[in-house]
Amino acid sequence: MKGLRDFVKLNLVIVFGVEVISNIAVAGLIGYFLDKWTFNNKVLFIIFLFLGVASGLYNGIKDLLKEAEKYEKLDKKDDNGNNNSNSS
Amino acid sequence: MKISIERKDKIIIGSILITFFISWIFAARSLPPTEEAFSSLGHRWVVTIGKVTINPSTVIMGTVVFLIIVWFATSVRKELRLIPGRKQALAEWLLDSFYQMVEDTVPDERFVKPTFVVATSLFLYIWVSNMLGSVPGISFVGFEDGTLKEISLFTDTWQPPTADLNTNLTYALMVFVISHAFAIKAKGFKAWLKSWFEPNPIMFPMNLIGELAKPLSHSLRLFGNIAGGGILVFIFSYLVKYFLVPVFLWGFFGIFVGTIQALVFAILAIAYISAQLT
Repeated sequence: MKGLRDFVKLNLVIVFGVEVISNIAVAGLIGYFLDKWTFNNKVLFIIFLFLGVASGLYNGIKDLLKEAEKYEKLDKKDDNGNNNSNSS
Repeated sequence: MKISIERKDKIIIGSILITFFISWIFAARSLPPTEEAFSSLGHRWVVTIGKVTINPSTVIMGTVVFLIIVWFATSVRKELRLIPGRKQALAEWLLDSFYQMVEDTVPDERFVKPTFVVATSLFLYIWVSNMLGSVPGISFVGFEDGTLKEISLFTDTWQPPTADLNTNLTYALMVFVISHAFAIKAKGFKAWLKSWFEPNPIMFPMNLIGELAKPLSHSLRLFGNIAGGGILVFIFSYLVKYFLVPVFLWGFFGIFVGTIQALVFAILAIAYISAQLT
């Protein structure tokens, strides 16, 4: 499983980018429709776009840290297992 | 390892190569001009029945993938033995390693088995359908308005269902709903509602946008990799008149990228479910 995990780690490269873009897209959509149904002057749309940027960075960094921590823990577990099996 | 080639094999390989070269010359001469070849790029054949619009290639290939998996499962079940054969060993290794991965990630013991079932079935379906994207076969080409232009034989791969955003979005939304249903079941409705306002109520819009963006990024990642790979192979192959390159690139995008993306989709499904449970 460790070999496979090394491949999956490559995915971390695009996790952050995709997260930020999809957050901005969702926030933009919500802002666009809220704006259309309420004041119709594009203020809410722009506010929501900025909210999307902030939320993308916040959630992206949060997820990256979580993933990194998880992989670190799993790698450490694997190393310990190998050492034990070698010494025994 | 020593490889010995007999005279008979040499003749067979030589005749295959000669046929390949001759057919390549004919194929290169009969290729349409650039504008015509790229005019149908990315267009799909759709059929409208009443108010419902369906994508026949996705439906047909989806059924084929489903049948392949069912056939494999029944053939493994028929030969179930204590000392496993090749197929049984493959199935056992796959399911066992997935079960361990889910056990490592999901904190609540009650939800290990349901999560395992969801993630593994997603992985199997997506993996097999990505693999179809590496085998040359029959594909449908559509006009801009969705009508059928032609059915091309062996100039493209089978169309994998995962190259259609509808399939991926369905699975991503399914994971989204399942993760929140599990969260309500594990934590209770009040605690689940409270989790939207953490660390403080000002963060509610950000949490909402972040949660809604999850299925989008989840599905678009897979769709972009598979559909983008198909388009890239088409353009590359046209540049060199379909000579050798498509075979290599189909293999690369179908087997290598396909396996990684199927694994990533399943692992992200596990991660999203376990993130809701903590």
